[in-house]
Amino acid sequence: MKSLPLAKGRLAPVLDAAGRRALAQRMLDHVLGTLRQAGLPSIRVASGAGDDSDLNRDVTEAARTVQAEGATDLLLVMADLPYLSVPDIEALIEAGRKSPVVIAEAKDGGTNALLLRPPTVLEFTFATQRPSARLHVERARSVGIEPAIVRRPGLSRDIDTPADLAQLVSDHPVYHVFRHVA
Amino acid sequence: MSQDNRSVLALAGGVGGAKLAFGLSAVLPAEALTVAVNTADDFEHLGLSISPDLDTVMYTLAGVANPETGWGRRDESWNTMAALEQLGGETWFRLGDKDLATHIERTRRLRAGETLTTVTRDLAQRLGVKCAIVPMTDNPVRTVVTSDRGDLAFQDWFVRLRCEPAVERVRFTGADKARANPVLLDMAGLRGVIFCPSNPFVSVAPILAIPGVRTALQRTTTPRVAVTPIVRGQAIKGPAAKMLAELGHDVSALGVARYYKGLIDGFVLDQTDAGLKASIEDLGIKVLVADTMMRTDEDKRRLAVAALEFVDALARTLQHS
Repeated sequence: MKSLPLAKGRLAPVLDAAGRRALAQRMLDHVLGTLRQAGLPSIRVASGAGDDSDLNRDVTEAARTVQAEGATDLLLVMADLPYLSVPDIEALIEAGRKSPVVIAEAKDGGTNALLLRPPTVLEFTFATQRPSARLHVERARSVGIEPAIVRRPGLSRDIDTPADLAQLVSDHPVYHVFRHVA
Repeated sequence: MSQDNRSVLALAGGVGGAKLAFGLSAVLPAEALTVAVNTADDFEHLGLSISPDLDTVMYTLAGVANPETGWGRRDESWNTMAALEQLGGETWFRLGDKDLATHIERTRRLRAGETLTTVTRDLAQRLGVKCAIVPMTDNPVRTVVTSDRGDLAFQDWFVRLRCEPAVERVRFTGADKARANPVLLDMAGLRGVIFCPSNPFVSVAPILAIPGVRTALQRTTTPRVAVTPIVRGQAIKGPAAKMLAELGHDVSALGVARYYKGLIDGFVLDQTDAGLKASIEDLGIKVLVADTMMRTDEDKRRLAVAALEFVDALARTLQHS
C-alpha cells in the first residue's frame, strides 16, 4: 500500500491526516475488492510502516517474500486507484502473455501496476519526482526484457492532487464525504 | 491597454475573483486598481484571525498562491499541522507553515489595535503586491449558516462538517452595523466597477449587505460590469451548488444576472452559455460574450482586457443615453 505519498503528498492542503487516511482506506478497499472480483489466487497488502517507509524497499521485500513462498507471478498494484476495474486486471494478465514484465503507466508517467514473472525479475525504481514507468522500462531492457506497456484509465488515474480528488468526488458517490474539498 | 489612469474598483471573493483581479493587476497601473474583498468568511481559529478571501487575493496577486488549489501558498510545508495532530489539536482547517505566518502577524497587529485595512495593506506590500487590496469593512461580519443542525459558522459548515447539514438560510451577522470601506461608498470619478467571478450569493452578497454599498452602486454613473462566475451552467460546483439549490437560487449565468439587476450595466457571459444572451439583455443589461475560462495567466490578462474594454464601451453609451 502506497501510504507515504498520500501521507505527505499534494493532498495536504485539502485534507488533514485523518481525512487522508480515510481516503486511502476507501481506495484500498476498492482495489482489494476489484482484485478479489478478478479471481486472483492470493492477495496481500504490502504496507510500509512509519516515517521511514520506502516504497522500493517495501515492494522488494514483498517480491522476495512471495517468491520464497513459491509464487511464480507477482501482480503489484498501487492502492490509490479508485477507477480500477476487473477488465484492467484482465488486460494486465493478457499483456503478461507477451512479456514477463508488464508496466501500467500512470497519467503523469508514474507506475501504477507491474506484472512480474518471476516476482523478483525487476529492480524497482519507483520515484516521486521522475516518471518511473520509463525507468522501469529501461530497467527491464537492461536485463534483456522488452516490457509490455498498458495504458488504461482505470490504471492511470491515481489520486495525486486536489484536482484529482475533486474529479473523483464528482465521478463516484462513495467519495462524497470528501466533497467539501471538491 | 489604454493610458486611462482613472481607477478601477474590483469586487472579489476567493479563488475565481482573485484570478480576474490578477489579470486586472497585470494590465493596469498599480495606482489604477483597488480590489475590495469579502471578509464574511473570516473566522477565529486556533486563536488566530483568519481571512480566507483576503489571503487568496493577496497570495494570487503576489504570485505565491498554490496553483493546484487556487488558495493557500505554493511550496508550502505542513510541519505545524502534523505536530499539532500529534498533540491532539484541531487540524481540519488546513493551515500551511508559511500561511500560518500571515495569520500570526495579522492577529498580533489586530490585537495591538490596528485595523484590518492597515494590516492587509502592509502584508500585501511586503509580499510585493503593487495595487490596493482592501477588506470590505474593518468591522466583523460573519456568514452564519442556519442548518438542520442549528446555526453554524461558515467554515464549520463548509470544512469541518463537510457541507453535510442541509442549509435553510444564510445570513451575514454584523453586516447591518458594519461601516463599509470608503472605496465602496463613493464611486464618482472611477473608470468602472467590476464584479469579479466570485460566488454572488456567499462572496459578493456580504459586500452588498453593508449599509450604503448597494445604494452607491445603484446611483453611480460609473459603468458597472459583472463577469460571470458560471461557465457551462456549472462553475459553482460541489457544496456551493448544493447550498445554492437548497436556498432556491438559480445556479446559472441568467440567475446571476437577475441577482445583479439594477447594480450592473454589463454582464460578461461565457461563450458556452451564449444562448442566454437574449434573456440577460431582456433584463436591460448589455452582454459581452467572451471566453471566461482562466487557466493560464495569459487567460486572466485577456479576460481583464476584455472586461475593461467593455467598461469603456459602456461609458460611451451611458454618456449618450
